[in-house]
Amino acid sequence: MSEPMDVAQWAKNWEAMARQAQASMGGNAAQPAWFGGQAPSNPWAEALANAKPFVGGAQQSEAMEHLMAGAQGYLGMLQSLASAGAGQGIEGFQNPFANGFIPGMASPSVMNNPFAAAMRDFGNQGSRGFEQLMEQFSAAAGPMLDQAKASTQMPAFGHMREKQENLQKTAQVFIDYQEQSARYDRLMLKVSEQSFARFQLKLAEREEPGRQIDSARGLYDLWIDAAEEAYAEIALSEEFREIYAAVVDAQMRVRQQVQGEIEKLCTQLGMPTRSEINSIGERLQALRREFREEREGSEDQQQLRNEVAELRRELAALTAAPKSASKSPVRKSAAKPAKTATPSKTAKATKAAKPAKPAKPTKAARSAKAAQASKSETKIESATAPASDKSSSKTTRKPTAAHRDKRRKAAASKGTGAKQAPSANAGDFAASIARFARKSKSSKKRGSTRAAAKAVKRGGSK
Amino acid sequence: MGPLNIEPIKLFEEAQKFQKKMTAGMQVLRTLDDVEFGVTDKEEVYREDKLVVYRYRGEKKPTAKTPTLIVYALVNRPYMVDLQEDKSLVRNLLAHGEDVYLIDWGYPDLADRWLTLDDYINGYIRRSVDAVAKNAGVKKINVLGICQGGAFSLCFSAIHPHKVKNLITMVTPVDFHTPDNMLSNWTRNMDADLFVNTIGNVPADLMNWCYLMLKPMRLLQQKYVGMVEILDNKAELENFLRMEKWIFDSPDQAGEAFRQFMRDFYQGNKLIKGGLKLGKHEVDLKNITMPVLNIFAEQDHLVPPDASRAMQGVVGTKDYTQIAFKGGHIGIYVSGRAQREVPPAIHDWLRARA
Repeated sequence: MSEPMDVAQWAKNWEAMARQAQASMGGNAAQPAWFGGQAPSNPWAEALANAKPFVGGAQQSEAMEHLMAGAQGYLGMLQSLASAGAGQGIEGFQNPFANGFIPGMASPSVMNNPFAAAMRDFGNQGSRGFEQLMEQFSAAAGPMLDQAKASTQMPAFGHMREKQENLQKTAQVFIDYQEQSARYDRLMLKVSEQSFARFQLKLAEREEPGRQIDSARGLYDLWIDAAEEAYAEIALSEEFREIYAAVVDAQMRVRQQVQGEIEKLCTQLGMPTRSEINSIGERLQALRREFREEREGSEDQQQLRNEVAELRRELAALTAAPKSASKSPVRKSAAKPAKTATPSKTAKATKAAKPAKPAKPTKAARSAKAAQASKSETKIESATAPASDKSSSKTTRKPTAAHRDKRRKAAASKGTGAKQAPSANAGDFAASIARFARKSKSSKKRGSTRAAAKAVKRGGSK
Repeated sequence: MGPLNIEPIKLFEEAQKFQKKMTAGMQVLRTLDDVEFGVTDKEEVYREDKLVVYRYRGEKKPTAKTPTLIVYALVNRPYMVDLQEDKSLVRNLLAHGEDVYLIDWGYPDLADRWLTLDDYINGYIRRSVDAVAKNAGVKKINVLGICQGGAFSLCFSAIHPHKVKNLITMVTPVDFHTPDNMLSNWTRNMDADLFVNTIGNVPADLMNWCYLMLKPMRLLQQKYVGMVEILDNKAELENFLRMEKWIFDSPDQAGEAFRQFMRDFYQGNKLIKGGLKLGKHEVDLKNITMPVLNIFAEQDHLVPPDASRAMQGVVGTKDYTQIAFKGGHIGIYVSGRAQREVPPAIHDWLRARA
């Protein structure tokens, strides 16, 4: 049980604290914010509203603005609860909810509900100027809206025809936006009404003993839950989808119309317009795309050129080989592959190829059937060559050297090696060029070739 | 018996406590410096226009051989993944031995008005992936896409599967037409062309306002009433303001990319329905054959869980894993639970596929 409250003492404490708060927020500590002049209807909240936390100094942050707004709403609710319940005991605190009214909260009217207000603030800072524009228009056209509507339908003629039509269009988009905004406001009113209905239901659920709300914060949170649920239900509806799109589209048409008018003025004054800047930007971006495509294309070409040069060197070495082979065929042919696969290079290749483990399946295939394997390895080579990296291409040189030996021996035994070998090598070279051309043409194909190569590697001779 | 059991004295006590907190809080607020974020050391490895790719440095060298590139959304700043020492996905991944890179998109301005999704995905992301691969000396890398960045990562992986070893998506929408997707409902009937042709780049303020309007009472009122509770606690207040800074530190959106995202993703739902084209490339999620880990938040109000769950079955991989995290769209990075659960889950999954 709480001790009986000394309301007079409490009020003194409250006022002292309010003065302190006011001082800390940069206001006048000598008097509470609601002191003097007309007494505010909700002093607890207004004390906060009058405080200027960063007066004369730093900019008020976004968080600070929200904090003050949130705190004001909450204090407003506390104050209303306290006023309603003063001298009436616990029952007094329940009265304000009898008709679904939330103390300190916005009453369910079109112009005073948080949802509609939020929509009017659509775009926040960016659209404040726009809202002012709309207010001016409403003030001017509001009283004679029907007349304004009718005037937009009148046919234009004479030397001012274009101008008149444009004015009519401007008036029309303003009117449309007002109508769509009104539809949106009505929908938000529905949210407010449903929030209160839902809140009452939630309150009713709390009537059981043990589930009662015993703090103002608990009550506030319950109201927020009710409001959010009601809002979510409508915000997810087809009706909201249609009205939201209509109001945004209408606002965009007004903006576009106003932009058009400003552009005309700018053109007359010889100033660059938004459309012109857009046009330059669009062209610039297109140029950048083209430039990059060409650069990346030339990088690919350079890569191909390097690979072709490498192949040429290899071909030159091959054509030179038979001449020297005729001098000492056994020694040269044995030395060449050893050079290609120097220990360090082999180690590098193995290291680079480690994740894919390319060597293992080849070994397995070899042990399974040596001749068959060497045949299938050649197939893998042709499949993997375009996609394989440097390390794997180094690895695949071994069988090529074996082939070279084989060919040289065959040529030597037939006595025609000097003539046939170059043509065979030239054929290989042409095939390599064709492979690289294919590589540059289709990356998709390359991907699938890689995948196929990988599959073959994984599955050995499969 | 009525629903309320508020004793008068308790009400006054509450009011007094509230006022006291406000008073003390104002003093604390004056002593606060600008909040800092981004706590982990990083180095720049690639730069193009406003985009920068960073590599993060942990206390020890990474043990992972394949680097992981974080592709964040365009609509917020990426330092959410490295907000503060005890709230950092990046820091935790590094501690597990991962090699972490991140794309910072920067703040688009009028010069970026004509950037398309093709420019972002087949341009910026592709070149960033290449730069990371080159830097790490590997052919393929892991891609970790977050939110809209996750949708981009899906597109990228579908178009360039040979560049991605493992794909991780966090709070990523795949089906944009689930009935609980509020943003999708709002944009479905809007005239995307009229919108972008009129405003050009989409202002950050407008984007922020839309997000606030998803839960207006909670995000514009209740949150700040709750803030009063921590006003006299400097450390907690700093954490709150750091988060607040991140929420409202939003870049403008490049007009063309926004137009296409709204039209093809939110309105056309083409990521899942098919028919999405980025430049010359058709996006077919069946081409995503690398292992996929999909993490979503069960209480996500921006990307409903069902929008993410829809990935299962539409991607071509046979190695698909999904994790439902108990939390919200932001809690998945900054909550205590997230620090304990998310980084180890990602690390274990990656390690099994190294």
